[in-house]
Amino acid sequence: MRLKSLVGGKVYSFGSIKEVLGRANELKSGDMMAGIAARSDAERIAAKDVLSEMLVSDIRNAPVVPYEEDEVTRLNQDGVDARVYEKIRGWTISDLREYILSEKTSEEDIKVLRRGLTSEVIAAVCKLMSNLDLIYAAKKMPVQATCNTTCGGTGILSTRLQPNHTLDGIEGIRASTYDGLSYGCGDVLIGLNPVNDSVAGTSEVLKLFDEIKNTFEIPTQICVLAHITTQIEAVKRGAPCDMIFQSIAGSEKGNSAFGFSAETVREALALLREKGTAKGPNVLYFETGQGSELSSNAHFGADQVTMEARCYGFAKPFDPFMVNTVVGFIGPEFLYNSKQVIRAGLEDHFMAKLTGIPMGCDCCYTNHMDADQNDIENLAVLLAAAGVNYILSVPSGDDVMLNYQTNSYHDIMAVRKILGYHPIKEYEDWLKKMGIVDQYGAPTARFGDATIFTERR
Amino acid sequence: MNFKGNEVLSVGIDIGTTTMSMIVSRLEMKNTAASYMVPEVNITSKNIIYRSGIYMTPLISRTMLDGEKISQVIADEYHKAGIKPSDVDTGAVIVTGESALKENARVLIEQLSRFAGDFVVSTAGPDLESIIAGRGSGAEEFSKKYGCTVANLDIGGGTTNISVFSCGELLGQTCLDAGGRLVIYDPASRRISYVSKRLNDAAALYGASFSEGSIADELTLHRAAGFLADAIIDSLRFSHREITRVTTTSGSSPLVLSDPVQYVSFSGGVADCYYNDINDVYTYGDLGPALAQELKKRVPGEGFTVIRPTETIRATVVGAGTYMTNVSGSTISYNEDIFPIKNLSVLVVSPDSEELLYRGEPGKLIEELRWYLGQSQQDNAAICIKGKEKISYGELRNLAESLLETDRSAIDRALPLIIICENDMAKALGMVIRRSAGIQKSILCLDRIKARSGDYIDIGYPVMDGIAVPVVIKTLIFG
Amino acid sequence: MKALGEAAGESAPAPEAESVRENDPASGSMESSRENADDPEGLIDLTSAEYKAGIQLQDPENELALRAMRRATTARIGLGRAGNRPSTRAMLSFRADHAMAKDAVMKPVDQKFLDRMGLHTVVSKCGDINEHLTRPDLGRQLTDESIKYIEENCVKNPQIQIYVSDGLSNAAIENNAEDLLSILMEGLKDQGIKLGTPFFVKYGRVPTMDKVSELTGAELTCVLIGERPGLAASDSMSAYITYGAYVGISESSRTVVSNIHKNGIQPVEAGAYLSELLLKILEAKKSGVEFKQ
Repeated sequence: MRLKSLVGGKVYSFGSIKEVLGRANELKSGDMMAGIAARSDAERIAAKDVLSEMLVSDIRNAPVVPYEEDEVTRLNQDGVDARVYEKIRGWTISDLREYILSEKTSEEDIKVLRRGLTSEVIAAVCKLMSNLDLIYAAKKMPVQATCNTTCGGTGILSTRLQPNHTLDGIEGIRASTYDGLSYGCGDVLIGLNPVNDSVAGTSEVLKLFDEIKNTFEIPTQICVLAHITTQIEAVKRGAPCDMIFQSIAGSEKGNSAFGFSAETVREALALLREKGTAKGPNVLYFETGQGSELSSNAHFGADQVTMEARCYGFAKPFDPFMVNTVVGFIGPEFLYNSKQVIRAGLEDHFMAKLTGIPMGCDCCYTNHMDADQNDIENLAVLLAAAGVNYILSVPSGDDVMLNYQTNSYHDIMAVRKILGYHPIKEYEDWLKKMGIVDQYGAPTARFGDATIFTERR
Repeated sequence: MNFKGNEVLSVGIDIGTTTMSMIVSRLEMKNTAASYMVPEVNITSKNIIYRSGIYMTPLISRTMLDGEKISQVIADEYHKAGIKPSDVDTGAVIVTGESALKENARVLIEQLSRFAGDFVVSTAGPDLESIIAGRGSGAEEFSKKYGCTVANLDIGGGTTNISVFSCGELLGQTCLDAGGRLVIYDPASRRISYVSKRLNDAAALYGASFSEGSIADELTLHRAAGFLADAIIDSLRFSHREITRVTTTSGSSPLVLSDPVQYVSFSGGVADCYYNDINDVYTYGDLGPALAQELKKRVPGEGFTVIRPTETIRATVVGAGTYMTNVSGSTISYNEDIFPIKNLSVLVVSPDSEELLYRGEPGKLIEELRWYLGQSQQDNAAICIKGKEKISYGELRNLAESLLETDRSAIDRALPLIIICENDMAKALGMVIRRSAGIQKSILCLDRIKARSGDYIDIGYPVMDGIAVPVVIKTLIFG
Repeated sequence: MKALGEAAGESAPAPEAESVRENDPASGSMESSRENADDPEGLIDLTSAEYKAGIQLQDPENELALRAMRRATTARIGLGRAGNRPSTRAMLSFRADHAMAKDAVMKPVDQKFLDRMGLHTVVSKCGDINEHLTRPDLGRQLTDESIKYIEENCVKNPQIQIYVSDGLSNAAIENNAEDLLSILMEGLKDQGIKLGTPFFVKYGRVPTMDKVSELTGAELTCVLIGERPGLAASDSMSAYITYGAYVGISESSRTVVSNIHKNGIQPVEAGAYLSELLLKILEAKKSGVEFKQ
C-alpha cells in the first residue's frame, strides 16, 4: 500500500488509512477543528491520489472504529455479502469510482455492488467524486421504501412538512400544517420537532396529525420527532403513530450520547409492527448530520464524511422509510459556509444512496453560518437533480422553533416544476381531489390557501 | 401553606327561571412552557365527570327561590356524584333569568356556600352568563374548527343570552329579557296567570298588550312570541331598533360586531323546543314552543345557517363548571395565608395615571383610588394596570414605589395590596414592592389577567406548588 | 396581483432623464436627500410586525379563518404567493430578518453599554469573530491576561458568580442584560448572598463558565449569554446555571432559562424568576438534570 504522493515537486506522506481519509476530504471546518484536515490544497490532492490507489480490501480491513468495541462497525461488517465482496476486494477505489460512473453500469448492477461495500469504502469513493460526479452517480441509484405510501419512485420529488411551533401549541401546529398541505407539501411525512420531549405532548400532537390525516383522507405518513424512548412510551400508551424517529451517529459511543442503542431501535421496530398505524414494512425515520460525532467526542479521530457514511451503515439493517441529513444545522464549526454545506449535502445523499438508503435532505443553514436562503435554494435544485427522495419544507423557510432556515413551502412545487417531478402518486391524486391542483397537476386558486381545510365536510 | 396539586375539582351550578342543574368537572393545570423556559401554568384539560339531571327550579313564589329545597337538591347531587364539599376547589353558582329572581339570590348563595368548601362562590351578570353559555354549548369550539362566526342563543325561561364567537375568540355578547316563561298559563284552562312587564313593554311598541286572567289562544301566544323573536333577530342584525332597546336586560347593552353572524346555535330550554319540533304550543303552559316556532319562521330569511350545538339545556351549567376559572401564574408573589379572596372589586387604572406611576408620581392614582373606595364603600380594591412588554428596571422601581405610596395613603395597612397586570411582569413587580414594603405587608401580584372596570375578582388557594392561583372574574355581585 | 395593463398604467417607470438627474451630485437634489437620509418619516420598518401584518394571502376562501390561523403561530403562514414563489414583500421581509440575525452574530457588543454597566471585558482564546464561530474549543478557554485579571480583581469564593457573555448574539446582551442583571443582583444582595464581581467575556461559549468558576472559586456560577439568533428573535438571551462547575463538567449539570427577550419573557421578570431559582439551586447544592426546576 502506497502512503505517499508527489504533487508540484513536494512529497506528501501519510501515517495511516484513517489519516488519508481525513486529508482527502474537501475542506470542512469540522475536520480542521479536529486537526485532521489537509493543511493545503496540494496535500488534499496528494491524499486523494493515495486513496485512489488503495484497494477495497485495504479500506474494509481498517474500519475507523474497531469491530470489537463498536456495534455500528459490527452491524456494518457483518452485513457484507461475502460473494460480492470477493469480486471487488481487489479493485482500487479509483476502479470503484469509474465503475459507478460508467454508463455500462446499470441500476441493477449497483444494487448488487452495494451489498459488498462497507461504510468506509463508500466514504472513500465519495472523496474522489466532484460535486457533479456525486449528482450524476446518485441519480442512477434510486432507492424506494414503503410506509403507507412509497417514496423514491422515478420522477417523484417528495417533501416532509415540518409545522413546528414555539410552544407546541396545537392550533398553531394545525395552522402551519394546513398551510403546508395547501402548497402540496407533506407527501412523504407530516412531522413535528416538539419543544417539550414528553410522552403527553408527543401523544397530543400525534393525535392531531392522525385526526388531520383521517379527516381529509390524506395518503401520507405522520411522526413526532421526540426522543425514541419517548415515542415508544407514547405508542405503548396508544398514541397513533406511523413511524418512529431517532437522530443517529456513526459510532456506538455517539449513539450512546444520543441516549439509545441498536437494541432500542429493534424495540421500536417490534412495537410498530404490533401497534403502529402504518402498513409498512418500512416504519423508521433517522436523521444524521456531519459533525455530530465530533461534537460528542465520539469520532475516534476519523473525519466527518467517514463518520457520516457509518450512520447509513447503521441505518441499513433496520430498513428505514426515510433518512435525511440535517446538513446545515450543526453550525459553522463543522460546516463553515454555503460551499461546505452544499458539498456535504451532495456527499451525504450520494453515500446514503450507495448504501441503499431512501435518502432525503434538510437543506438548511443557521444564522451564524456564512450562508443565506439563495444557497439552500441552490442545494435543493442540485439534490433534486440528483434524485433525492425528499427535501424539507417549513412556512416561508423560517423554522420559528428550531431557529434555523430550510426550504419554503413555496420551493417544493417550484423545483418539481423546473425538473419535471411529481409528488407521490396517491398524494397527487389527493391534491386533485381537494382542488389544490388541477387535473394536470397545476396549481389552482386554492393552492396556497390554508383556509380550504376549514370548509365544513 | 398547603398547596394543591395540578388538578382542581370544579362544581358548576345553574339556577334558572325554570330549571336547575349541576355538573362536576376536573380541571387539569400544567406548566406549558418548555423545561428551559420560565414556567407558565395553563388549564390544559377540562373533563366533566358528573352531570346531574335537570330539575324544575324550586320556587316559593314567582320571584322567590326556595333556598331550602335548592340546597336539598344540591346535597342529593353531591351524594350521587360521590363528592364532599371539602373536595371542591373552585366553581360557580349562576342564577340566571329574570332579575326579580336574583333579588333573593344572595341569601341563596349563603345557603349554598356550605357545599362549596373553600371554593369561591360567585355569580355572573347578564353579559358573563351569555359568554358562559356560548362556551358551554360548544359554539366557541365550532367557530374555531370551521373558522367562522357563530352566535349562540341561550334561551331560557326569562332571558335570551347571546354570545358571538369568531374563530374561537369572543366577538361580543348581549342579553335580552326574552324567554319562554314571560307568559305563564294553566295548560288545561289556558288561563294566563302571569305576564312579564318586560313583554308588555315590547308589545306596547306594536300597540298590543297581554293581561293576566285572559285566555291564551294560539294566536295570542304566537303574537307574544313573535315580538320576542323580532327582538332576538334584530339583535343579531345589530340594527338596534326600539324593540331591542326595550328588551335588553339591565346591565347589558345591544350587540355591536366587527363581522356578520354566519351560524346560529340555540341552547337553553327553548333550544329543545326548537330542535325537537314541538308542535303543540300548549305543552308547557308557557311561550317556549311558540317562541321556537316564531324563530324558525324568521331565521331562513336572515342568511344564517342554524347548527345544533354540543350542549343545549346544559350549556350554562357546563360553562359555569368549566369556563369560569382561569389561572394566573407562574409569576405571582404573595406572603401570607390570605386565600381565598372573595368579591374583591377592581379599580382599572387610567392610562394617564399609569404612565405617571412609571415616573414615580402616584398622586393621580391615590385620588382615583380614594374616590373609588368612597363611591363603592369598600375597604380595598385590586389595582389593575396594563403593564409593559418590556419595562426597564428604573421604571419598575418607580412603579413599585408609587404603588406602595398609594397603598399607604388609601388602603388600611392590615389589608393586602393586590395588583393585577395584563402583561407578564408580576413576579418582578412583587419582588421590588416586597423589598420596600417590609415583611408584615401582604402583597399579591397577578399577571396575564385582564379585568374591566366594574369587575369583581375571586382568588382561590395557590396550586402547582404555589406558583399559580385559580382566578374567577365576574361582572356583578348582589347587593 | 394587478392585471398587466393596470400595472403599467398605475406605476409607469419614471422617465430616464429624471432618474439621471436625481443621481447627479451636481444637481443639488442629492444634497437634500442626504439631509433627510436618516429621517424615518413615512417609512415602515421591514422587520416590524406592522410590515409583516401587511403580507397576507388575498381573497382566501375564509378570511376569518386565515386571520385566526395567523394569530395561532408566529410562523410565516398565509402569506400568499407569486406563482410558486413568495411575494416580493414576503421575500424582503424574510431577508431583512436574516440581515438582523446576521448582524446580531457578527457585530461586537457596544462598548458604551459595557461602560454604563461597569463591566470589564475579558476575552476567550478566540482572536476574532470567525475564530469564535469555528473554534468553540478555543471559546471555552480564557487568555492568560484574562485569567490574571479575574484572579487579581474579582471577589474570591463568592456564593454566586454572575457574569455576561456575548455568545452568539450581541443584540441579546445589549437589549436584555442590563435590566436583568440589576434586578437579579439587588434581589440576591437583599438575601445576604455573597456575590462575585460581574464582568463581560468576549467571544465566550457556555462552558467558559466552568473556567470562570474555577478561577473565582464560586459555589454557583451563572452566565447571561446571547443565543444563536433566529429570524423571529435575534436578541434572545439565556441564563446557564452550574453548581460547583469545573472544566469538563457534563452539560447535563447545567440548568437553563431561555427565551429572555421582549417577546419571550421580559428581562426584569426573568431576573425575578432567576433570583428565586439561584437560591433554590444554592440550597439544593445541585443543578441540571439532578435539580428539578
